[in-house]
Amino acid sequence: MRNFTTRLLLTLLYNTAVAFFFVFIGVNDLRSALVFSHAIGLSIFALARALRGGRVPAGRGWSLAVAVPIGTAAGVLIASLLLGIDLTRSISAHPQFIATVLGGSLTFGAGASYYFHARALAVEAEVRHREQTLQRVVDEQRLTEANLKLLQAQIEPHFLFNTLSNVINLIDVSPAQARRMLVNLTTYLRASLQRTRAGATSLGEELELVRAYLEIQSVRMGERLSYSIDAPMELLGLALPPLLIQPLVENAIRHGLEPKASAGKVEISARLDGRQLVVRVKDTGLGIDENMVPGVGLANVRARIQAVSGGAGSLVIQPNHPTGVCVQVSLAATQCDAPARRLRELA
Amino acid sequence: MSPPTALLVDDEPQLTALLRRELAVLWPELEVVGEALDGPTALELAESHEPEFVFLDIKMPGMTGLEVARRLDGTCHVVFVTAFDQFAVQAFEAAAVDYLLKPVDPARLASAVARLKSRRSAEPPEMGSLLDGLAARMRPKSGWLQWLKVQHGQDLVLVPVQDVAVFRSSDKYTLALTREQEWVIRTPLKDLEEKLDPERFWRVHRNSIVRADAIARVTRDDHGQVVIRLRDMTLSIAVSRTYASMFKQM
Repeated sequence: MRNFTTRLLLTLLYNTAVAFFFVFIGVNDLRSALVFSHAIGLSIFALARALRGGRVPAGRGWSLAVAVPIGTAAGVLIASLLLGIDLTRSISAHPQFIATVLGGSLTFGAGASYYFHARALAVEAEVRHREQTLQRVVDEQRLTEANLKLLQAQIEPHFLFNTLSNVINLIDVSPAQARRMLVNLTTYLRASLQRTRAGATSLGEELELVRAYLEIQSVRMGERLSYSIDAPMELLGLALPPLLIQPLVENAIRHGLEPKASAGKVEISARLDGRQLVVRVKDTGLGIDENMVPGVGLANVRARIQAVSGGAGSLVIQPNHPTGVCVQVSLAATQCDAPARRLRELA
Repeated sequence: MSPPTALLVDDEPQLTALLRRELAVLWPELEVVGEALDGPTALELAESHEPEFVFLDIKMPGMTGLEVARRLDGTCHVVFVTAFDQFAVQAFEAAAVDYLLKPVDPARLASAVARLKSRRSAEPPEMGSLLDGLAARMRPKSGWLQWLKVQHGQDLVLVPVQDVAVFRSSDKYTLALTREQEWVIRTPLKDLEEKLDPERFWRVHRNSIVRADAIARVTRDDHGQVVIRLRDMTLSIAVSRTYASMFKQM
Protein backbone atom coordinates (compact mmCIF):
# COMPACT_ATOMS: atom_id res chain seq x y z
CA MET A 1 0.00 0.00 0.00
CA ARG A 2 2.83 2.40 0.82
CA ASN A 3 4.39 1.46 -2.44
CA PHE A 4 1.19 2.47 -4.25
CA THR A 5 1.03 5.87 -2.54
CA THR A 6 4.66 6.62 -3.34
CA ARG A 7 4.15 5.73 -6.97
CA LEU A 8 1.03 7.87 -7.18
CA LEU A 9 2.74 10.89 -5.63
CA LEU A 10 5.73 10.51 -7.93
CA THR A 11 3.38 10.31 -10.90
CA LEU A 12 1.53 13.48 -9.86
CA LEU A 13 4.80 15.34 -9.40
CA TYR A 14 6.07 14.16 -12.74
CA ASN A 15 2.82 15.16 -14.48
CA THR A 16 3.07 18.66 -13.02
CA ALA A 17 6.68 18.98 -14.14
CA VAL A 18 5.74 17.88 -17.65
CA ALA A 19 2.92 20.46 -17.69
CA PHE A 20 5.37 23.24 -16.77
CA PHE A 21 7.72 22.06 -19.48
CA PHE A 22 4.96 22.43 -22.09
CA VAL A 23 4.11 25.88 -20.78
CA PHE A 24 7.80 26.79 -20.87
CA ILE A 25 8.23 25.82 -24.50
CA GLY A 26 5.06 27.76 -25.27
CA VAL A 27 2.76 25.00 -26.43
CA ASN A 28 -0.02 25.43 -23.82
CA ASP A 29 -1.32 27.74 -21.19
CA LEU A 30 -0.82 26.51 -17.63
CA ARG A 31 -4.43 25.36 -17.05
CA SER A 32 -4.77 23.15 -20.11
CA ALA A 33 -1.19 21.88 -19.78
CA LEU A 34 -1.93 20.71 -16.23
CA VAL A 35 -5.21 19.07 -17.21
CA PHE A 36 -3.70 17.32 -20.22
CA SER A 37 -0.59 16.22 -18.40
CA HIS A 38 -2.44 14.79 -15.38
CA ALA A 39 -5.16 13.18 -17.46
CA ILE A 40 -2.60 11.41 -19.63
CA GLY A 41 -0.20 10.54 -16.79
CA LEU A 42 -2.90 9.18 -14.52
CA SER A 43 -4.51 7.20 -17.33
CA ILE A 44 -1.22 5.48 -18.07
CA PHE A 45 -0.64 4.92 -14.38
CA ALA A 46 -4.07 3.38 -13.82
CA LEU A 47 -3.95 1.29 -16.94
CA ALA A 48 -0.48 -0.13 -16.23
CA ARG A 49 -1.57 -1.00 -12.72
CA ALA A 50 -4.74 -2.67 -13.86
CA LEU A 51 -2.84 -4.74 -16.41
CA ARG A 52 -0.38 -5.97 -13.79
CA GLY A 53 -3.13 -6.86 -11.35
CA GLY A 54 -1.50 -4.76 -8.64
CA ARG A 55 1.63 -6.89 -8.58
CA VAL A 56 5.27 -6.18 -9.17
CA PRO A 57 5.74 -6.67 -12.91
CA ALA A 58 7.40 -10.04 -12.95
CA GLY A 59 7.67 -10.63 -16.70
CA ARG A 60 4.93 -8.11 -17.36
CA GLY A 61 6.98 -5.49 -19.20
CA TRP A 62 4.48 -5.75 -22.04
CA SER A 63 1.89 -3.98 -19.87
CA LEU A 64 3.81 -0.72 -20.43
CA ALA A 65 3.87 -1.08 -24.18
CA VAL A 66 0.08 -1.33 -24.03
CA ALA A 67 -0.51 1.20 -21.26
CA VAL A 68 1.48 4.10 -22.75
CA PRO A 69 -0.26 4.52 -26.14
CA ILE A 70 -3.74 3.62 -24.91
CA GLY A 71 -3.32 5.67 -21.74
CA THR A 72 -2.17 8.64 -23.82
CA ALA A 73 -5.14 8.41 -26.14
CA ALA A 74 -7.53 8.02 -23.20
CA GLY A 75 -5.86 10.93 -21.37
CA VAL A 76 -6.21 13.22 -24.39
CA LEU A 77 -9.89 12.33 -24.64
CA ILE A 78 -10.53 12.92 -20.95
CA ALA A 79 -8.61 16.22 -20.95
CA SER A 80 -10.53 17.42 -24.00
CA LEU A 81 -13.82 16.58 -22.33
CA LEU A 82 -12.78 18.38 -19.14
CA LEU A 83 -11.60 21.48 -20.98
CA GLY A 84 -14.57 21.44 -23.35
CA ILE A 85 -12.41 21.14 -26.44
CA ASP A 86 -13.97 19.69 -29.54
CA LEU A 87 -11.28 17.22 -30.53
CA THR A 88 -12.23 16.65 -34.16
CA ARG A 89 -12.29 20.37 -34.77
CA SER A 90 -9.01 20.93 -33.00
CA ILE A 91 -7.30 18.22 -34.98
CA SER A 92 -8.27 19.78 -38.30
CA ALA A 93 -7.63 23.35 -37.07
CA HIS A 94 -4.28 22.78 -35.31
CA PRO A 95 -2.86 19.46 -36.50
CA GLN A 96 0.62 20.50 -35.48
CA PHE A 97 -0.46 21.37 -31.95
CA ILE A 98 -2.19 18.02 -31.44
CA ALA A 99 0.78 16.14 -32.87
CA THR A 100 3.07 17.91 -30.42
CA VAL A 101 0.81 17.05 -27.47
CA LEU A 102 0.52 13.43 -28.51
CA GLY A 103 4.22 13.02 -29.34
CA GLY A 104 5.25 14.74 -26.11
CA SER A 105 2.87 12.63 -24.05
CA LEU A 106 4.09 9.43 -25.60
CA THR A 107 7.72 10.38 -24.99
CA PHE A 108 7.20 11.50 -21.41
CA GLY A 109 4.79 8.66 -20.66
CA ALA A 110 7.22 6.10 -21.99
CA GLY A 111 10.06 7.70 -20.02
CA ALA A 112 8.17 7.66 -16.75
CA SER A 113 6.83 4.18 -17.27
CA TYR A 114 10.26 2.91 -18.11
CA TYR A 115 11.58 4.45 -14.91
CA PHE A 116 8.96 2.69 -12.78
CA HIS A 117 9.44 -0.56 -14.63
CA ALA A 118 13.22 -0.48 -14.22
CA ARG A 119 12.87 0.38 -10.55
CA ALA A 120 10.49 -2.54 -9.97
CA LEU A 121 12.87 -4.88 -11.77
CA ALA A 122 15.76 -3.66 -9.63
CA VAL A 123 13.74 -4.20 -6.46
CA GLU A 124 12.82 -7.65 -7.65
CA ALA A 125 16.45 -8.49 -8.45
CA GLU A 126 17.45 -7.23 -5.01
CA VAL A 127 14.80 -9.40 -3.34
CA ARG A 128 15.93 -12.41 -5.32
CA HIS A 129 19.55 -11.74 -4.44
CA ARG A 130 18.67 -11.48 -0.75
CA GLU A 131 16.69 -14.69 -0.87
CA GLN A 132 19.60 -16.48 -2.50
CA THR A 133 22.02 -15.16 0.10
CA LEU A 134 19.65 -16.22 2.85
CA GLN A 135 19.33 -19.67 1.30
CA ARG A 136 23.11 -20.00 1.20
CA VAL A 137 23.44 -18.99 4.83
CA VAL A 138 20.71 -21.45 5.77
CA ASP A 139 22.45 -24.22 3.81
CA GLU A 140 25.76 -23.49 5.51
CA GLN A 141 24.15 -23.42 8.91
CA ARG A 142 22.45 -26.73 8.24
CA LEU A 143 25.76 -28.24 7.18
CA THR A 144 27.38 -27.13 10.42
CA GLU A 145 24.50 -28.50 12.45
CA ALA A 146 24.59 -31.74 10.50
CA ASN A 147 28.30 -32.11 11.17
CA LEU A 148 27.83 -31.51 14.85
CA LYS A 149 25.00 -34.00 15.12
CA LEU A 150 27.04 -36.49 13.17
CA LEU A 151 29.90 -36.15 15.62
CA GLN A 152 27.51 -36.82 18.48
CA ALA A 153 25.81 -39.73 16.78
CA GLN A 154 28.96 -41.11 15.29
CA ILE A 155 30.54 -43.33 17.85
CA GLU A 156 27.74 -45.57 18.94
CA PRO A 157 28.30 -46.56 22.58
CA HIS A 158 27.00 -50.12 22.16
CA PHE A 159 29.49 -50.64 19.38
CA LEU A 160 32.39 -49.11 21.31
CA PHE A 161 31.84 -50.92 24.61
CA ASN A 162 31.02 -54.28 23.05
CA THR A 163 34.14 -54.01 20.92
CA LEU A 164 36.24 -53.30 24.00
CA SER A 165 34.67 -56.29 25.77
CA ASN A 166 35.67 -58.42 22.80
CA VAL A 167 39.22 -57.10 22.94
CA ILE A 168 39.45 -57.92 26.66
CA ASN A 169 38.30 -61.44 25.91
CA LEU A 170 40.71 -61.85 22.98
CA ILE A 171 43.69 -60.71 25.04
CA ASP A 172 43.37 -63.99 26.99
CA VAL A 173 42.24 -66.21 24.13
CA SER A 174 44.03 -64.90 21.05
CA PRO A 175 46.40 -61.94 21.58
CA ALA A 176 47.10 -61.57 17.85
CA GLN A 177 43.41 -61.17 17.11
CA ALA A 178 43.03 -58.75 20.02
CA ARG A 179 45.79 -56.66 18.55
CA ARG A 180 44.19 -56.67 15.13
CA MET A 181 40.87 -55.61 16.57
CA LEU A 182 42.48 -52.72 18.44
CA VAL A 183 44.23 -51.57 15.28
CA ASN A 184 40.89 -51.58 13.46
CA LEU A 185 39.22 -49.74 16.30
CA THR A 186 41.99 -47.13 16.22
CA THR A 187 41.53 -46.65 12.47
CA TYR A 188 37.81 -46.28 12.99
CA LEU A 189 38.08 -43.82 15.87
CA ARG A 190 40.81 -41.73 14.29
CA ALA A 191 38.96 -41.44 11.01
CA SER A 192 35.71 -40.57 12.79
CA LEU A 193 37.29 -37.88 14.92
CA GLN A 194 39.64 -36.44 12.32
CA ARG A 195 37.33 -36.26 9.42
CA THR A 196 34.43 -34.55 11.07
CA ARG A 197 36.81 -31.60 11.11
CA ALA A 198 38.36 -32.03 7.66
CA GLY A 199 36.60 -30.99 4.46
CA ALA A 200 36.42 -33.39 1.53
CA THR A 201 38.08 -36.77 1.71
CA SER A 202 38.41 -39.54 -0.85
CA LEU A 203 36.37 -42.62 -1.61
CA GLY A 204 39.46 -44.70 -0.78
CA GLU A 205 39.65 -43.27 2.73
CA GLU A 206 35.97 -43.76 3.34
CA LEU A 207 36.18 -47.38 2.26
CA GLU A 208 39.19 -47.94 4.55
CA LEU A 209 37.07 -46.75 7.43
CA VAL A 210 34.17 -48.92 6.33
CA ARG A 211 36.48 -51.93 6.10
CA ALA A 212 37.87 -51.34 9.61
CA TYR A 213 34.32 -51.05 10.93
CA LEU A 214 33.14 -54.22 9.17
CA GLU A 215 36.15 -56.22 10.35
CA ILE A 216 35.34 -55.31 13.93
CA GLN A 217 31.70 -56.17 13.40
CA SER A 218 32.48 -59.52 11.86
CA VAL A 219 34.56 -60.47 14.92
CA ARG A 220 31.65 -59.45 17.13
CA MET A 221 28.91 -61.09 15.11
CA GLY A 222 30.91 -64.10 13.95
CA GLU A 223 29.18 -66.14 11.27
CA ARG A 224 26.12 -63.92 11.33
CA LEU A 225 27.90 -61.30 9.23
CA SER A 226 29.64 -61.48 5.87
CA TYR A 227 30.58 -58.53 3.73
CA SER A 228 32.16 -57.43 0.47
CA ILE A 229 33.60 -54.13 -0.74
CA ASP A 230 33.87 -53.69 -4.46
CA ALA A 231 35.45 -50.53 -5.85
CA PRO A 232 37.74 -50.18 -8.89
CA MET A 233 41.19 -48.79 -8.03
CA GLU A 234 40.80 -45.79 -10.34
CA LEU A 235 37.81 -44.52 -8.37
CA LEU A 236 39.54 -44.48 -4.98
CA GLY A 237 40.93 -40.97 -5.50
CA LEU A 238 37.51 -39.41 -6.12
CA ALA A 239 36.33 -36.81 -3.62
CA LEU A 240 33.64 -37.66 -1.13
CA PRO A 241 32.33 -35.67 1.86
CA PRO A 242 33.61 -37.31 5.05
CA LEU A 243 31.53 -40.03 6.66
CA LEU A 244 28.92 -40.23 3.93
CA ILE A 245 29.02 -43.97 3.34
CA GLN A 246 30.03 -45.16 6.79
CA PRO A 247 26.71 -44.15 8.45
CA LEU A 248 24.85 -46.09 5.75
CA VAL A 249 26.93 -49.20 6.47
CA GLU A 250 26.39 -48.68 10.17
CA ASN A 251 22.62 -48.44 9.60
CA ALA A 252 22.70 -51.66 7.59
CA ILE A 253 24.40 -53.41 10.52
CA ARG A 254 22.62 -51.73 13.40
CA HIS A 255 19.06 -51.80 12.06
CA GLY A 256 19.30 -54.56 9.46
CA LEU A 257 21.68 -57.32 10.49
CA GLU A 258 22.35 -56.99 14.23
CA PRO A 259 18.66 -57.41 15.14
CA LYS A 260 18.31 -60.32 12.69
CA ALA A 261 18.73 -63.77 14.20
CA SER A 262 19.94 -65.50 11.03
CA ALA A 263 23.06 -64.69 9.01
CA GLY A 264 23.21 -61.81 6.56
CA LYS A 265 25.40 -59.89 4.19
CA VAL A 266 26.43 -56.29 3.43
CA GLU A 267 27.69 -55.42 -0.03
CA ILE A 268 29.31 -52.10 -0.76
CA SER A 269 30.05 -51.20 -4.35
CA ALA A 270 31.23 -48.09 -6.20
CA ARG A 271 31.03 -47.37 -9.89
CA LEU A 272 31.10 -44.50 -12.33
CA ASP A 273 27.87 -43.70 -14.14
CA GLY A 274 28.73 -41.04 -16.70
CA ARG A 275 30.16 -38.23 -14.56
CA GLN A 276 28.45 -39.42 -11.41
CA LEU A 277 30.09 -41.47 -8.70
CA VAL A 278 27.54 -44.03 -7.54
CA VAL A 279 28.05 -45.84 -4.24
CA ARG A 280 25.65 -48.53 -3.18
CA VAL A 281 25.20 -50.15 0.23
CA LYS A 282 23.07 -53.27 0.08
CA ASP A 283 22.15 -55.52 3.00
CA THR A 284 20.04 -58.60 3.52
CA GLY A 285 18.84 -57.49 6.96
CA LEU A 286 15.37 -56.99 8.36
CA GLY A 287 14.45 -54.21 5.94
CA ILE A 288 12.46 -51.06 6.61
CA ASP A 289 9.11 -51.22 8.32
CA GLU A 290 6.90 -48.33 7.23
CA ASN A 291 6.42 -47.20 10.82
CA MET A 292 10.13 -47.34 11.73
CA VAL A 293 11.45 -43.93 12.73
CA PRO A 294 14.37 -43.02 10.45
CA GLY A 295 17.60 -42.39 12.35
CA VAL A 296 19.55 -39.16 12.57
CA GLY A 297 22.22 -40.70 10.32
CA LEU A 298 20.05 -40.89 7.23
CA ALA A 299 18.64 -37.37 7.45
CA ASN A 300 22.17 -36.21 8.06
CA VAL A 301 23.60 -37.93 4.99
CA ARG A 302 20.77 -36.53 2.87
CA ALA A 303 21.28 -33.00 4.20
CA ARG A 304 24.99 -33.14 3.47
CA ILE A 305 24.53 -34.50 -0.05
CA GLN A 306 22.12 -31.64 -0.64
CA ALA A 307 24.50 -29.08 0.83
CA VAL A 308 27.63 -30.16 -1.07
CA SER A 309 26.02 -30.94 -4.40
CA GLY A 310 23.50 -28.11 -4.57
CA GLY A 311 20.82 -30.45 -5.87
CA ALA A 312 23.06 -32.46 -8.25
CA GLY A 313 23.48 -35.42 -5.88
CA SER A 314 20.94 -37.89 -4.67
CA LEU A 315 20.21 -40.49 -2.03
CA VAL A 316 17.81 -43.25 -3.02
CA ILE A 317 16.56 -45.88 -0.59
CA GLN A 318 15.00 -49.05 -1.93
CA PRO A 319 13.91 -52.39 -0.53
CA ASN A 320 16.38 -55.14 -1.40
CA HIS A 321 15.15 -58.50 -2.68
CA PRO A 322 14.18 -60.74 -1.00
CA THR A 323 14.98 -58.87 2.25
CA GLY A 324 16.91 -55.85 3.43
CA VAL A 325 17.62 -52.39 2.13
CA CYS A 326 19.60 -50.94 -0.75
CA VAL A 327 20.82 -47.36 -0.41
CA GLN A 328 22.38 -45.56 -3.33
CA VAL A 329 24.35 -42.33 -3.17
CA SER A 330 25.16 -40.39 -6.35
CA LEU A 331 27.50 -37.41 -6.49
CA ALA A 332 29.38 -35.54 -9.18
CA ALA A 333 32.73 -37.31 -9.67
CA THR A 334 35.61 -34.95 -8.89
CA GLN A 335 39.19 -35.74 -7.93
CA CYS A 336 40.16 -35.32 -4.31
CA ASP A 337 43.00 -32.84 -3.65
CA ALA A 338 45.38 -34.91 -1.56
CA PRO A 339 44.15 -38.47 -1.36
CA ALA A 340 47.61 -40.04 -1.37
CA ARG A 341 48.80 -38.13 1.68
CA ARG A 342 45.68 -38.86 3.68
CA LEU A 343 45.74 -42.51 2.70
CA ARG A 344 49.28 -42.75 4.05
CA GLU A 345 48.16 -41.13 7.29
CA LEU A 346 45.41 -43.68 7.65
CA ALA A 347 47.62 -46.69 6.92
CA MET B 1 22.05 -75.94 49.85
CA SER B 2 22.78 -77.28 46.37
CA PRO B 3 25.50 -75.46 44.35
CA PRO B 4 24.34 -72.27 42.57
CA THR B 5 23.55 -72.54 38.84
CA ALA B 6 23.58 -69.93 36.09
CA LEU B 7 22.64 -69.41 32.45
CA LEU B 8 24.64 -66.92 30.34
CA VAL B 9 22.90 -65.14 27.45
CA ASP B 10 24.59 -62.83 24.92
CA ASP B 11 24.38 -62.70 21.13
CA GLU B 12 28.16 -62.33 21.01
CA PRO B 13 29.62 -65.78 21.83
CA GLN B 14 33.00 -64.26 22.76
CA LEU B 15 31.36 -62.26 25.50
CA THR B 16 29.62 -65.19 27.19
CA ALA B 17 32.98 -66.99 27.09
CA LEU B 18 34.61 -64.01 28.80
CA LEU B 19 31.93 -63.75 31.47
CA ARG B 20 32.19 -67.48 32.10
CA ARG B 21 35.95 -67.25 32.71
CA GLU B 22 35.58 -64.24 34.99
CA LEU B 23 32.81 -65.88 37.00
CA ALA B 24 34.94 -69.02 37.34
CA VAL B 25 37.59 -66.93 39.11
CA LEU B 26 35.27 -64.92 41.36
CA TRP B 27 32.65 -67.56 42.11
CA PRO B 28 34.18 -71.03 41.63
CA GLU B 29 31.15 -72.87 43.07
CA LEU B 30 28.81 -71.35 40.43
CA GLU B 31 27.87 -73.97 37.89
CA VAL B 32 27.17 -72.57 34.41
CA VAL B 33 24.44 -74.83 33.07
CA GLY B 34 24.19 -73.27 29.65
CA GLU B 35 25.03 -70.48 27.20
CA ALA B 36 22.55 -69.01 24.73
CA LEU B 37 23.05 -66.64 21.77
CA ASP B 38 19.42 -65.56 21.49
CA GLY B 39 16.21 -65.16 23.43
CA PRO B 40 14.28 -68.26 22.34
CA THR B 41 17.27 -70.54 23.11
CA ALA B 42 17.64 -68.83 26.48
CA LEU B 43 14.00 -69.57 27.34
CA GLU B 44 14.39 -73.22 26.32
CA LEU B 45 17.53 -73.66 28.40
CA ALA B 46 15.96 -71.88 31.35
CA GLU B 47 13.01 -74.23 31.23
CA SER B 48 15.09 -77.41 31.02
CA HIS B 49 17.83 -76.44 33.52
CA GLU B 50 15.93 -74.16 35.89
CA PRO B 51 19.00 -72.01 36.71
CA GLU B 52 19.02 -69.86 39.82
CA PHE B 53 20.63 -66.94 37.99
CA VAL B 54 20.39 -65.70 34.40
CA PHE B 55 22.97 -63.23 33.11
CA LEU B 56 21.07 -61.55 30.31
CA ASP B 57 22.32 -59.22 27.56
CA ILE B 58 19.69 -56.60 26.69
CA LYS B 59 20.35 -55.96 23.02
CA MET B 60 19.85 -59.20 21.12
CA PRO B 61 18.40 -60.08 17.72
CA GLY B 62 14.85 -61.35 17.54
CA MET B 63 13.97 -60.98 21.17
CA THR B 64 15.52 -58.45 23.51
CA GLY B 65 16.82 -59.31 26.98
CA LEU B 66 13.92 -57.32 28.41
CA GLU B 67 11.42 -59.55 26.63
CA VAL B 68 13.25 -62.70 27.79
CA ALA B 69 13.22 -61.41 31.37
CA ARG B 70 9.49 -60.68 31.09
CA ARG B 71 8.89 -64.35 30.24
CA LEU B 72 11.24 -65.57 32.95
CA ASP B 73 9.72 -63.30 35.55
CA GLY B 74 9.68 -64.91 38.97
CA THR B 75 11.43 -68.16 38.03
CA CYS B 76 15.01 -66.97 38.60
CA HIS B 77 17.21 -64.02 39.56
CA VAL B 78 18.03 -61.94 36.47
CA VAL B 79 21.25 -59.97 36.11
CA PHE B 80 21.12 -57.66 33.10
CA VAL B 81 24.29 -57.16 31.13
CA THR B 82 24.46 -54.11 28.90
CA ALA B 83 27.02 -52.11 26.99
CA PHE B 84 25.03 -48.90 27.10
CA ASP B 85 21.36 -48.41 27.79
CA GLN B 86 21.05 -45.26 29.83
CA PHE B 87 17.31 -45.47 30.45
CA ALA B 88 17.49 -49.10 31.48
CA VAL B 89 20.44 -48.54 33.79
CA GLN B 90 18.64 -45.66 35.50
CA ALA B 91 15.55 -47.79 35.94
CA PHE B 92 17.58 -50.73 37.29
CA GLU B 93 19.29 -48.43 39.78
CA ALA B 94 15.96 -47.07 40.95
CA ALA B 95 14.36 -50.51 41.30
CA ALA B 96 17.48 -52.19 42.75
CA VAL B 97 17.61 -54.64 39.84
CA ASP B 98 21.03 -56.26 39.32
CA TYR B 99 22.98 -55.27 36.24
CA LEU B 100 26.51 -55.30 34.85
CA LEU B 101 28.11 -52.92 32.39
CA LYS B 102 30.22 -54.20 29.52
CA PRO B 103 33.18 -54.43 29.48
CA VAL B 104 32.70 -55.98 32.90
CA ASP B 105 34.93 -54.53 35.58
CA PRO B 106 36.20 -57.43 37.78
CA ALA B 107 35.78 -55.36 40.96
CA ARG B 108 32.15 -54.61 40.07
CA LEU B 109 31.56 -58.21 39.17
CA ALA B 110 32.95 -59.23 42.57
CA SER B 111 30.49 -57.00 44.41
CA ALA B 112 27.63 -58.19 42.19
CA VAL B 113 28.56 -61.78 43.03
CA ALA B 114 28.50 -60.96 46.75
CA ARG B 115 25.04 -59.46 46.37
CA LEU B 116 23.78 -62.42 44.36
CA LYS B 117 25.01 -64.84 47.02
CA SER B 118 22.93 -62.99 49.59
CA ARG B 119 19.87 -63.19 47.31
CA ARG B 120 19.89 -66.95 46.98
CA SER B 121 17.44 -67.48 49.79
CA ALA B 122 15.10 -64.67 48.69
CA GLU B 123 12.29 -64.86 46.14
CA PRO B 124 13.12 -63.28 42.77
CA PRO B 125 11.59 -59.78 42.65
CA GLU B 126 8.56 -58.94 40.51
CA MET B 127 9.71 -56.83 37.51
CA GLY B 128 6.75 -56.97 35.09
CA SER B 129 5.74 -53.32 34.97
CA LEU B 130 9.33 -52.12 35.01
CA LEU B 131 10.18 -54.29 32.00
CA ASP B 132 7.07 -53.30 30.05
CA GLY B 133 7.87 -49.65 30.55
CA LEU B 134 11.45 -50.10 29.38
CA ALA B 135 10.49 -52.24 26.41
CA ALA B 136 8.05 -49.59 25.19
CA ARG B 137 10.74 -46.97 25.54
CA MET B 138 13.36 -48.86 23.59
CA ARG B 139 11.19 -49.70 20.61
CA PRO B 140 12.15 -47.31 17.82
CA LYS B 141 8.71 -47.53 16.26
CA SER B 142 6.09 -44.90 15.95
CA GLY B 143 2.35 -45.27 15.57
CA TRP B 144 2.50 -42.99 12.53
CA LEU B 145 3.61 -43.57 8.99
CA GLN B 146 7.35 -42.90 8.60
CA TRP B 147 8.14 -44.25 5.14
CA LEU B 148 6.35 -43.97 1.81
CA LYS B 149 6.63 -46.80 -0.65
CA VAL B 150 6.73 -45.17 -4.06
CA GLN B 151 6.66 -46.88 -7.43
CA HIS B 152 9.28 -45.07 -9.51
CA GLY B 153 9.53 -46.50 -13.02
CA GLN B 154 10.44 -50.14 -12.54
CA ASP B 155 11.65 -49.63 -8.99
CA LEU B 156 10.11 -49.36 -5.59
CA VAL B 157 11.64 -46.46 -3.66
CA LEU B 158 11.39 -45.72 0.06
CA VAL B 159 10.95 -42.04 0.91
CA PRO B 160 11.10 -40.86 4.53
CA VAL B 161 7.90 -39.02 5.37
CA GLN B 162 10.02 -36.44 7.23
CA ASP B 163 11.42 -35.28 3.86
CA VAL B 164 8.03 -34.52 2.37
CA ALA B 165 7.06 -30.85 2.58
CA VAL B 166 3.64 -31.10 0.97
CA PHE B 167 1.16 -33.77 -0.02
CA ARG B 168 -1.22 -32.66 -2.74
CA SER B 169 -4.05 -34.56 -4.28
CA SER B 170 -4.13 -34.68 -8.04
CA ASP B 171 -6.89 -36.68 -9.75
CA LYS B 172 -6.60 -40.27 -8.55
CA TYR B 173 -3.09 -39.80 -7.19
CA THR B 174 -1.30 -37.93 -4.48
CA LEU B 175 1.85 -35.92 -5.10
CA ALA B 176 4.49 -35.95 -2.37
CA LEU B 177 6.84 -33.00 -2.80
CA THR B 178 10.28 -33.08 -1.20
CA ARG B 179 12.97 -30.48 -1.58
CA GLU B 180 14.51 -32.46 -4.41
CA GLN B 181 11.72 -34.36 -6.02
CA GLU B 182 8.06 -34.84 -6.76
CA TRP B 183 6.79 -38.37 -6.08
CA VAL B 184 3.52 -39.85 -7.22
CA ILE B 185 1.80 -42.15 -4.73
CA ARG B 186 -1.37 -44.11 -5.11
CA THR B 187 -2.76 -43.60 -1.64
CA PRO B 188 -5.53 -40.96 -1.66
CA LEU B 189 -4.87 -37.88 0.45
CA LYS B 190 -7.72 -38.73 2.79
CA ASP B 191 -6.22 -42.13 3.66
CA LEU B 192 -2.75 -40.64 4.05
CA GLU B 193 -4.06 -38.04 6.47
CA GLU B 194 -5.15 -40.77 8.86
CA LYS B 195 -1.70 -42.36 8.87
CA LEU B 196 0.33 -39.18 9.32
CA ASP B 197 1.26 -37.71 12.69
CA PRO B 198 -1.20 -34.79 13.03
CA GLU B 199 1.29 -32.88 15.18
CA ARG B 200 3.74 -32.72 12.28
CA PHE B 201 1.46 -32.76 9.24
CA TRP B 202 -1.33 -30.24 8.91
CA ARG B 203 -4.27 -30.31 6.60
CA VAL B 204 -4.55 -26.78 5.18
CA HIS B 205 -6.76 -27.29 2.18
CA ARG B 206 -9.12 -29.87 0.72
CA ASN B 207 -6.23 -30.94 -1.50
CA SER B 208 -3.09 -30.30 0.55
CA ILE B 209 -1.34 -31.43 3.70
CA VAL B 210 1.75 -29.49 4.76
CA ARG B 211 4.61 -30.53 7.04
CA ALA B 212 4.51 -27.99 9.85
CA ASP B 213 8.25 -27.45 10.11
CA ALA B 214 8.55 -26.88 6.34
CA ILE B 215 6.50 -23.69 6.65
CA ALA B 216 8.63 -20.57 6.29
CA ARG B 217 5.85 -17.99 6.65
CA VAL B 218 2.15 -17.51 6.30
CA THR B 219 0.89 -14.42 4.48
CA ARG B 220 -2.36 -12.96 3.24
CA ASP B 221 -2.41 -11.74 -0.35
CA ASP B 222 -4.30 -8.79 -1.88
CA HIS B 223 -7.45 -10.86 -2.29
CA GLY B 224 -7.49 -11.96 1.34
CA GLN B 225 -6.30 -15.46 0.50
CA VAL B 226 -4.08 -17.02 3.19
CA VAL B 227 -0.94 -18.45 1.59
CA ILE B 228 1.83 -20.62 3.03
CA ARG B 229 5.38 -20.10 1.83
CA LEU B 230 7.67 -23.07 2.22
CA ARG B 231 11.25 -23.21 3.36
CA ASP B 232 13.76 -23.97 0.59
CA MET B 233 11.02 -24.24 -2.02
CA THR B 234 9.55 -21.70 -4.42
CA LEU B 235 6.14 -23.27 -4.10
CA SER B 236 3.37 -21.59 -2.13
CA ILE B 237 0.28 -23.33 -0.81
CA ALA B 238 -3.18 -21.85 -0.54
CA VAL B 239 -4.96 -22.26 2.78
CA SER B 240 -8.68 -22.72 2.43
CA ARG B 241 -11.13 -20.70 4.54
CA THR B 242 -11.98 -23.74 6.68
CA TYR B 243 -8.38 -24.10 7.83
CA ALA B 244 -7.29 -20.43 7.81
CA SER B 245 -8.26 -20.04 11.47
CA MET B 246 -5.26 -22.26 12.34
CA PHE B 247 -2.98 -19.39 11.41
CA LYS B 248 -4.74 -16.54 13.16
CA GLN B 249 -2.53 -14.65 15.58
CA MET B 250 0.61 -16.19 14.14
